[in-house]
This record gives sequence, structure tokens and C-alpha cells, in this order.
Amino acid sequence: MDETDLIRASQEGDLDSFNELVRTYEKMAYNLAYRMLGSQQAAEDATQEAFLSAWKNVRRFRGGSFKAWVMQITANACRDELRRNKRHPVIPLESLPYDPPAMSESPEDYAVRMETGERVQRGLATLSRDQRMAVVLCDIQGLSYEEIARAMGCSLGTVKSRINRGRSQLRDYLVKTEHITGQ
Amino acid sequence: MRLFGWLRKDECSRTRALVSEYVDGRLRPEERDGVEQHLAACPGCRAELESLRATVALLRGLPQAVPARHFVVAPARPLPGRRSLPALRYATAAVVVLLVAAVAVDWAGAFERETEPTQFGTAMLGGAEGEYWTVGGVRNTVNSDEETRVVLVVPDGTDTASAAVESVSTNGMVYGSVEAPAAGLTQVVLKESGAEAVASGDVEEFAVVSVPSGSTMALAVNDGWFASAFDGVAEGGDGSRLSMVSSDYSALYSFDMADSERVTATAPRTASDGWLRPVEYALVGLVALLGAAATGVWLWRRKARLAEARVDRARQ
Repeated sequence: MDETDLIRASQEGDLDSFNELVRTYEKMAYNLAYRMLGSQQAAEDATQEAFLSAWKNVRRFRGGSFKAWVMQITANACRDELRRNKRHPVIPLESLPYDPPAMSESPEDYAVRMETGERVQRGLATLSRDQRMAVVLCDIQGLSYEEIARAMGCSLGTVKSRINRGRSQLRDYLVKTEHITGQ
Repeated sequence: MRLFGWLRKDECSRTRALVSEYVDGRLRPEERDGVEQHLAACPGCRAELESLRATVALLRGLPQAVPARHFVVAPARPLPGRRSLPALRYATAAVVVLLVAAVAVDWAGAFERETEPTQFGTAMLGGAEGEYWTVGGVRNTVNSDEETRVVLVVPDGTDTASAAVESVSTNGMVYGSVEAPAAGLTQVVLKESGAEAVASGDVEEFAVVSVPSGSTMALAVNDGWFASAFDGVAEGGDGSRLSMVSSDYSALYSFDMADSERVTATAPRTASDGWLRPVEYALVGLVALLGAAATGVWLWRRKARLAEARVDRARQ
């Protein structure tokens, strides 16, 4: 079954089909939540809440990018989580299981990539919530501007400006912490 | 040269606004060409582009976190504690209904009571021709063939009361007091008391009516006072009434001029139905309490749902 069939079956109440979709998108949703919330537990809660909510509302999905729709629901779950618990550390306090090193990668390179990841996460934490979400969706999750506009419920112009400002601010942070060279 | 510098600066800010989209390859050809032209000529903007590219490359190279579990949705199953919710709902509904009823009853004033007539006294005042009374700033001339009736309304259970009456005789200013010596009395005497003031609160209402000159005065003496004149009301026939408003406008007193023994007083509402207010406040508090309880149950169930989902994943 392709995605369209799975969505149709889900809308008719087939939970197994829906869970197929969950398995396709859960990593992406979880990564967005983790980058937004910075804690494994909070990210798991937000992701679970997002998929429960998606299951409840799947009938309301009216075509278009299912990925953007799922990310929109995840983004809302992250907002709720942030609102519910303002004490969330956005900077990770625990080291996460990440993808294993690529075949071509040496252990040293992998370690550097991990270290960079922590640093970038700290930089992301300095961004406003909306800028952080736009940058994460664009550069980490690889969504198109149009999908981001749908996921964040805003105009394309707003998406562009959030990405532009978010990247600039992150760049400034990375230059300041001497992670990349500036002008 | 300065103009060139200014133009260049303007170019730079325009380029920097577009450079993020340029990195993503989202510019229209003519925009892209403009940006590239400027970049070729401006080392500052080139550095900007490079650092932004480096930032984006770092982001894209970030390792993806691997969730420790799956997030598939388990079939719905009733949770323990679900039964407590309908009870909470019915209780809230019942309390809201009670609250609405209490507010409605309060507004309609269903528990408002008419208070019994207060004690009163009447005095016939005579005076030498040419003398006059001023009450509330209005002068009542005493003619020899005229009688002035003083009506004194005092709180229930009060045996004696007095009130200051400004009396101006032909000889000059005199201060007097009206005294009601005993319950059920039919006559009060105007007594001169020099400049002595009467304590406020001794008398609830005090009215002086002069008949039959055709001019009627009502005066309420309380903490404050309110006076109004009713011309021609006190001609003396059956059914004539004198009305008086208390100083805080909370009560209306109505006197039957033909039979001064039937004085009716409508007490302010707050005195008789005051008990309703605490009931209303208590109900509002109860609604808030039940709302908080419902929120608590909702949060608890959400937590339980997430925990259960986690357990389900562990089982799979």
C-alpha cells in the first residue's frame, strides 16, 4: 500500500495502517520535538501526544503533504509542551542515542560530529521559539518552505524571514563560540 | 565616492536579506543574478554568504536522534478512574443550576419582605402668627389658623427619639428638637434645646408636614438628608400621600395623609435577603473547585495515557 492508501485506510478507522504511517514519520517528528524541547522525555511525550492527536484527527486531513500535516501537529504538541512546562531545558542534559556512524566515517569524525551537534543545539536554544522551529524544519528535517508554512500555520514570507533571522542568529552564535569563522 | 559608498551599503543590506534564500536556491533568476553580481564585487557579503553556508552545512550534518521507542497508537482501552468523570460532570452541572437559580431569585427579589410600619408620632404645632419654620431651607410661615404636623418615624423598638428642627421665629433663630417619648405615642412635643445638636442615628426619618397652607415639606434626617417638596399634596383629603426617600435612596417611605397611623415603610432589600449572597459566593467557589478537580483528572488521565503508550511499546 502506498501512502495515499494508508491515509485512506486510516481515515476509515484502520489503526494498523495508521501505525504504518507513524513508523514512517516518527523519527522526523521525534527529532523536531527533541530539537525544540531539548529533553528526551519531553520529546517522547510530545511525539506520543502528537500521534495520538493525529489518529484522532486523521479524518480531517484533506490531502496535500501528509508530512507537513504530521509536522504541524507535532509543532503544536511542542508548543503545548513548552507552555505546560516552562522549565524545560532546551539545552540537552543527557546524551541521546544518535544514528550510528556512517560506514565511511572514522570514530574521530563521528565524535567531532557529536560534539558539533551539542554546540549547534546550544546555539538553537538561543533562538526564539518560532525561529528555532523554522530553522529545524528547514535545515535539519529538510522540509520545503511551503511545507514549513503549512506546518507552522503562517505565510511563506514569514517562513522566509524566520529562517533568515534564525540562521543569522545561529551563525552569530557559532562565530562567537569560534565554531565557524566569521567575516 | 561617498555616494558610491552609500549605494554599496544599500546593496549590501539588500543582498544580506536575500542571501538565506540564495543558499536554498529559491531566488528568481533576476534576483539571483543581482545577488551574484554584488557578491563578486563585495568581499564582506561573500564572507557573510560563506559563514551562512557553513552554518547550514552544520545543521544539515547534524546526526538524527534515534527515539528509544516507537510511537504507534494502541487501540483505545478504558482507563481506570474513567468512571469518576461523569460524577464530576453531573455535580458541576447541578451546582451550576443551583447557582443560576440563586442568582435569578436574588435578581427577582423573591425573598424581599415589606417591613412592618415603624413607630411614629404626630405633633400638632401651633405658633404665633408671623412665626415660621424653616425645614430644608424652605420657610413655612405659621399662620394663626394653621397647624403644623410633625411626623416622626423611628426604628422599630425605639422608645424615644429626637431630631433637630431648625426653627426660626420672629424673634430670631431657635434650634429645637422633636421628641417621641414612648412607643405608640400619638403626640410629640417640639422642645427648644438651644444650639444642642442631636446625635445622628437617633432618628431614622423625620418629616415635617405643614397643613393646610397647601405647601408640603418632607425632610429625611439621617446621616445625610434628602428633602423634597410636594406642593398641594397635603390638602388633607383621603388618599393623599406623602412620599419620602431615604438619604441613600435605598428606601421609599410612604405616608397616608388622611390617616397618619398607617405609615408604611419599605425596607432596603439588602437587609432582608442578605443571606442569599453568601450562598451565591459559596456556589461560585464550588464551581471553581469542581473545575479545578476536572482539570486535575484530565491531566492525570493524560499522564496515564502516555505511560500506557510507553508500556505498550515496551511490550512490542
